[in-house]
Amino acid sequence: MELTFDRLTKQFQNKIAVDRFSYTMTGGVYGLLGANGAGKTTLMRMLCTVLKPTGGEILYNGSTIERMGVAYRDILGYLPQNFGYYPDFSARDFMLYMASLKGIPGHAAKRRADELLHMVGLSDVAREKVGSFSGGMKQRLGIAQAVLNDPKILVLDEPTAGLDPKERIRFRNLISDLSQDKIVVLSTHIVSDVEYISDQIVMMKKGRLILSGSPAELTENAAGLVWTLTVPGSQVRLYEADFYICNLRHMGDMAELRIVSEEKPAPTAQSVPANLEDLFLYHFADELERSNTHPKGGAQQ
Amino acid sequence: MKQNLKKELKQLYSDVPPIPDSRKMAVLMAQARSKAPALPRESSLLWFIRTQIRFVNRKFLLVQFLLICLYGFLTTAVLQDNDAFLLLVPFAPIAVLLGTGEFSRSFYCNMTELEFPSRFSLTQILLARLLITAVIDMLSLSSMLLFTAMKTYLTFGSLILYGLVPSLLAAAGALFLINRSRDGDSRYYVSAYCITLSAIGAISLTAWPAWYNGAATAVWLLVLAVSAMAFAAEVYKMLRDCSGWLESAKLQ
Repeated sequence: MELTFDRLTKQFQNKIAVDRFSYTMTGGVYGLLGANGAGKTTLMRMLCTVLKPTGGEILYNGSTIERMGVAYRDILGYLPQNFGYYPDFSARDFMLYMASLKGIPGHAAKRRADELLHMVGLSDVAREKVGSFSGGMKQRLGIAQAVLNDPKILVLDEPTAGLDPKERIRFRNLISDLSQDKIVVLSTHIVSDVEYISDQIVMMKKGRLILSGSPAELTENAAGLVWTLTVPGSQVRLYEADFYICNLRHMGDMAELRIVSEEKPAPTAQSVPANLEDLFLYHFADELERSNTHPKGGAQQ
Repeated sequence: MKQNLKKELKQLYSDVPPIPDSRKMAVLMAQARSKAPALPRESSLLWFIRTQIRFVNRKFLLVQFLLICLYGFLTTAVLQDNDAFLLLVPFAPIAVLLGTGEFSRSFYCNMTELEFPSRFSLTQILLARLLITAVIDMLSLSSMLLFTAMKTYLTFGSLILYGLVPSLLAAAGALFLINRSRDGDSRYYVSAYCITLSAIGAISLTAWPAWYNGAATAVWLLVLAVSAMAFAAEVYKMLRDCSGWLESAKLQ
């Protein structure tokens, strides 16, 4: 089982959303990490044959997915970022409808729909209208429909967006359970979502692949980038102006700063092991700044 | 005695099962999973169209039924004999409006991205819905024609013309609008268009009675041909646009 992206490119008029993206995935969970607008959704849409690449190709076990056609869509499960629902459908109707699109006939569809609704904890509300569901329930229903056909490739675009912490943990566990014998591609801009469940992390910036590896490998390679420093509260602003501060803790008159910097920010600063969040800030601070009004305050967020 | 006990204990120890080997267990699980029966799959378009009937919105069917009932009541109980055909022209676009809402709901319910990468393509989904809604609309129109035929002096041929032309004009215009605005707003445009068409039809009966003279039949036939061609062209455009990639639909 091998999924290869070969110089995949997508251009929208004057904007290059995905720029010569090359990568190979085998089994496991792949976390696609990047700031908003990094090209994650476009990449996933091309992976799901929703968008046509401008250049390059995607190969599954050596065959282009375009040529595989229905055979590829049969092994694909997809949860888009913003998916709708028919307001007159109950959760079970929705599952049966999606099963019909995937070509699963009557009895098998009913059995599979009930089984999956039970698995995602929606069997009690299976006959209720989807319109009355909370965001978390809709996302769980979304993932249930994505695995209806027991896909080999499961693509989940921002599956935890808008979920409360409890729902996010539940969702992460669900994805871990489902990931056996599959390639699960999961996109998010929430670092903690991928940190725990991803076997490999793929970082994208401005449509390009900038970094990939296991969470441990990535954080090991970032050794010497993260520092902690205790300074008087009045000096915090000075450090904020010069460095990216990923954590700030006030302790009376003093403040403890966690700084991401290639250079030692102060003689008293101590190097500490990096985590994925630090690495994310290191690579995407400029983009986070652009999307926030405060120049460095954005980086903290 | 002690020797025997030792012997028995030794025997018991030797019978203890080996410690689970996680690697072997993983292999066993993988083998078990591979033995699990694969999900059965259907690929016939006929099967697909048949299954889609059960997913037709019941409210749509109910409203269509109520529309026919209202039409039947007004035609048979309220209107005078010769005025019975007056309702046909304004009612036909409303029946089409209901059908169009059902047909194009993938777009305004934001379901296209979810429906697209399936075994049955978006083209096949739309085709199935188009067939189902067209049959329902034709049944509604036929019922209206039958009600009207019972009470009017007009020939059945003229009635078919007065029923089909507004229906096809409504359907072609609605598809034209949907093809150019495949999002939630399309239903508002389509509603506005069909209601306007219905209003024009209603007004024309009193404001421009010459439209319904025998001499105007040639014009009606011409409009029928043009609207039928426009309808066919818009259906073709929609199916073609949704066949390959979803570039043409607005994705959120």
